[in-house]
Amino acid sequence: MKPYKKLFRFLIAAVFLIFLAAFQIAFLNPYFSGLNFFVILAIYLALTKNNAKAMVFSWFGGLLTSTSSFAGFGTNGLILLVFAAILILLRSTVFLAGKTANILMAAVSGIVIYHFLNWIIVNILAFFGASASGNIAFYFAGPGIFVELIAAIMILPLMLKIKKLKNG
Amino acid sequence: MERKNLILFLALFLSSLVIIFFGRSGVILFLRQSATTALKPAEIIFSRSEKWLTFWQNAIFEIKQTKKSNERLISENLELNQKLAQMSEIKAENALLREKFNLSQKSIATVAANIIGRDFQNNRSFVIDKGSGDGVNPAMAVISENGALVGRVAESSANTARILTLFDTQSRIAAQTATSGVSGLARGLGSAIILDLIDKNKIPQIGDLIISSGTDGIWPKGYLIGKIAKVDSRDSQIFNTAEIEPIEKPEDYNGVLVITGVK
Repeated sequence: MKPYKKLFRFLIAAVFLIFLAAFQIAFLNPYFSGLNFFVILAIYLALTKNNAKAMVFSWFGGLLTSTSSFAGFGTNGLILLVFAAILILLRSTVFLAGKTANILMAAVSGIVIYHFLNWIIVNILAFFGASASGNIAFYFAGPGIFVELIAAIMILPLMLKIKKLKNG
Repeated sequence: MERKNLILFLALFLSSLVIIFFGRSGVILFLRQSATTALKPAEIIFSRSEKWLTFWQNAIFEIKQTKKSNERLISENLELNQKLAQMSEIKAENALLREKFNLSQKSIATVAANIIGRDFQNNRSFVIDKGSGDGVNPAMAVISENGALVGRVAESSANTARILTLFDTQSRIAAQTATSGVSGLARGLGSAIILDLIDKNKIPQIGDLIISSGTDGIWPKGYLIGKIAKVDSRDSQIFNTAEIEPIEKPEDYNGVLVITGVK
């Protein structure tokens, strides 16, 4: 690919992520009880074997959304990056992409893994004085996790179906 | 994982650690400022859409409740008007006494700001559309439009600022009950606020209003935090504790006031 085309695609991706992050912070967080669309995006990219994209989009999206987080700048980026890496490792062993049952399993387990990872990493960083802490109930007891589970179960199969139709 | 993906992961992982642990360095602050500046225009548009949607959703689904609230508010309004008449007399008397004893009255300087973004859990942190360019600096106290204490400015860039609310685990405020003067430390637990370190011999009443006492020298004095919802007094504890129910829920704020100084 020509260098200017690569640069153009890079800029388009950056602008897309900035808009998505602003939508997450200003719309999804207050209106949909904290439904994290970047988690769903990470699961989608990992399932469709876009490993590099999954890591970069997760990291950059997390970096942008951490501008509004109590945990401090950069924390969400680290959490989503590690989450994407775990999904990539699990995809080849557990989630056989393409089958509906496994897509749903990927969605549910992905959401649970993300919230667990969020709790662990935030508290590890809090131990080193780089973040504020939170107890486990804070990450699992609110309505947000249920909204995320429902949204992931509904959105992921749809996104994968659209990709299948696009590829013919 | 392929080798190049592993290298990419390690590079991004190390970048994250540098950003988190060296967050006060000039480069990282510039990066954060650039991110908040890039996000701000879209955040303003999306937050206005969200407020519009929430307004009409509440208007449609809460008509019956709104009618009941309206009737209750009319009755309360009449009662408050009577109290206002009495307060006017007290205010006039206060002004005369100040003049007689040559006492000055302090008033606060504030900057009004709109909330343009929130944290995932919706109550520990949010972003406002004013920053250091508007006189909003870290550590400044933030109150709601109705005068209740909301939190403090954690970070500010040129045109936005991030507020840590009273729910955050880093929030600690010297507080007391408004009427009986029972003092304690109001601190955030993440999704709740408690009044801690209450003297064993003193038990606040349920419904007591909690205000900031100003004795810590950090938070301004006399601002409403919430009211006592539940008291926990056990023989095995050295201090009593109480759960505080905030007067206003963080998700209900649309705008706040940042206290920039005292006149």
